[in-house]
Amino acid sequence: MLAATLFATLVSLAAPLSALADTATPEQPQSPNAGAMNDVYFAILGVTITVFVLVGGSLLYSAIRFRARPGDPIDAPQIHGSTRLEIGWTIVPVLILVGLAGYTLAKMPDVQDAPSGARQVRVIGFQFGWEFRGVGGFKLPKNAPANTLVIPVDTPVKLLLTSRDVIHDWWVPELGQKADLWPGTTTDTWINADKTGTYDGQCSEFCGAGHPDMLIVVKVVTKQQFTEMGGQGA
Amino acid sequence: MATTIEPRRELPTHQHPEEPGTGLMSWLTTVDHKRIGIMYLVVTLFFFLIGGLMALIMRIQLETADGSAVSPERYNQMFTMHGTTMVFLFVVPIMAAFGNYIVPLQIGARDMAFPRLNAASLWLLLFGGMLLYSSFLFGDAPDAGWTGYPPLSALSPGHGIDFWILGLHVLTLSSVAGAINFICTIHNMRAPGMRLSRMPLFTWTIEFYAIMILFALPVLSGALTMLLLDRNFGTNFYDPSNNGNIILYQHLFWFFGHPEVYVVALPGFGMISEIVPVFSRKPLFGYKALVISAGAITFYAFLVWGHHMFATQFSTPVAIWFMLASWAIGVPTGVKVFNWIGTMWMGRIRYEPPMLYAVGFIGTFIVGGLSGIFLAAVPVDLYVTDSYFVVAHFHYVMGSVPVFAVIGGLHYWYPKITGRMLDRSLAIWSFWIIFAGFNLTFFPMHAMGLSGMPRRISHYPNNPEWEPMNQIATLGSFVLTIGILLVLWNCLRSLRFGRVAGNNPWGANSLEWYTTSPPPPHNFDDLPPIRSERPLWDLREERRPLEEPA
Repeated sequence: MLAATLFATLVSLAAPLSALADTATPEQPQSPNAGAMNDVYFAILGVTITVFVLVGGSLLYSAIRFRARPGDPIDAPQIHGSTRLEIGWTIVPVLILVGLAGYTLAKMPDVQDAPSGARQVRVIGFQFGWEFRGVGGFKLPKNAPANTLVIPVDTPVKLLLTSRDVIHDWWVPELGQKADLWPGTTTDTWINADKTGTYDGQCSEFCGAGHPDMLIVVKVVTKQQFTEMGGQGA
Repeated sequence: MATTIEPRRELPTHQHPEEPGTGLMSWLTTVDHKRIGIMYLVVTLFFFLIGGLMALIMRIQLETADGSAVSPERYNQMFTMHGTTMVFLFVVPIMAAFGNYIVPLQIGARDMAFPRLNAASLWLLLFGGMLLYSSFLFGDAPDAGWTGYPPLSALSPGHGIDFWILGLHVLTLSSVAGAINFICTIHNMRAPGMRLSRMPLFTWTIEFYAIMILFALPVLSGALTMLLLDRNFGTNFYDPSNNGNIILYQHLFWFFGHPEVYVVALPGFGMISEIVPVFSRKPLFGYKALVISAGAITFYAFLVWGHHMFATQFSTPVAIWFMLASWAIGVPTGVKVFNWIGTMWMGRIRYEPPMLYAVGFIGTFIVGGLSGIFLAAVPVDLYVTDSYFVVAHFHYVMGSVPVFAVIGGLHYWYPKITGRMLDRSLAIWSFWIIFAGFNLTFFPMHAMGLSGMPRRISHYPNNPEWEPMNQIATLGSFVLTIGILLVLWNCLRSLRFGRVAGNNPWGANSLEWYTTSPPPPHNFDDLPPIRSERPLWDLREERRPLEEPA
């Protein structure tokens, strides 16, 4: 009876949960680094949901199954612990984490290392906007709207980030990892967009009153369009 | 074999402390740990209401994408002061409130080791809070976030940040003095027989709380002092254009900031470890494992601060270290959860309000612990850090402690503190309202973060798709508020109308339940022999053959 109730509860939760699946995952990745991040996310999601169901389930089970019933004696059997069990539930989480660590470490280079031969763009963040300049032979189209980075599709682009004033943070969810921008230092992130389109992002390190308006637009165009717009080196 | 219990005897009159008065002056000048504990409770709950009010203003602001309830500048002050208030004026000191009231009773002591220092801690807390809030009177409330990163905080005009720094300095003094007092009390004031290995879990966690405060908070003071000097006296500790180092501040801040999470969490764990066995009618499953895991968490807490800073781009080995060390903390934390469930297993669980809060806490804390695994993984962190996912995570961790563990502890010890029981059905109602409100408020924030919503933004006109999630959270915050207000109403009402509690209404086993409710100024007329971590259980076992002839 109890099991049936539990089962029914879980099933009734499944419907709204699947409707929420879209909001339970990162935005659709459109660059290999974002893809690798997404893979690690799903691996962890799988592990954590399993753990949640097992541990949360045993919490719920013991909370319901072992409630005092009328007529019971007041005190329960006096069990002080079980060394074997306790060692077990120390070791099993360690093993799970070791497995997760192995997978994550294997994926980290796919996120961190920009492909060789990447074009370079210098990105300067300031209160409250962005400036983009091509480096070397890579020239960005002129006359792009403010705060808009135009890059060619299927071309690795490394962003060299720095700030003119306070700390900012580069974040375009579909196109890879965040990176802080500080004054006086250069940090980096990279994009290798595999589809044309317009991708929105925004500064995600609090930087003052205009922080919510420090939007980023990355416009990914075909190589031909990029050249037509006045870009070079695609 | 039954030993005779020493009959209660009156202390010789010359040892009887004078009966305290009840007038205002008697409270303002008291050095009694119980009165100080109660005043700590009143002060911290007052600041909790203020911090909660600011949270409601934020939730109202974010209900629509245009966010027009307050200006962006005011919004920045709101989240800065909400975070600062909740951390420094509520969650950390409310542990000192319970520590003050309960620890001397649990170890069979007459008072804290340094009663006057204890009073000083209380008044520093109140004055530190007033100093912090007086910034509003001068028109420049702090607005750089509760983390106060330079250069933003260094460049912030006006004196808001200076009030913030000096307020935190005073609050740090309060906490450090309190921590020294707790450590000295626990190591020197224990009753005969109360070995460390017999101390109740709550007292153990207050010991670890104090140790972490002692090692972590002075680092914050150093970081803030350098910021103060940079702002006002021309130094360049954090100014990169003069060879200063921006990232130094973040290292120092999080070297304090991460242990701070456990400063909050461990006493909450301690409260849960008190409540679960009492209402499951069993001993703690694995007392030693629970103490050792708390110790392990205390140690690890100082090794993981870098996981707050992955976006600053560490070299790969450093990033990997912080990732693995952070995950490692999950192991002792898991041990705690498993041992609590082990304590409930085969129990005869009575669902009095404290137990509901305890089970609610374990459930929400599992969610918070698991979302921490995402944040510690470097590649995933670089997606979710500084987004609403983080906000969801730390409210499930640092928010579930005060909302479930502390309110559970309040329901558990209220009869001891006041001598009266809370209204049971009102307490149960308010639990379910709080549980629903908490999850409605914070669970959708995971989804906001995953959809790309950064934290600390006052409006999002370009992303109307975030509106529904924000509206659920706003609705939840009002439900949560109703639940909290019901709890406070219950506490006030029961002072007058509550059933008389008696010494030990829950059939609990630690020493605080041996004395009267509320305890006399000198705490105990006599003490039972202490031969295990459950002296009152031993006492009942000894009496049982006498009371229940076979």
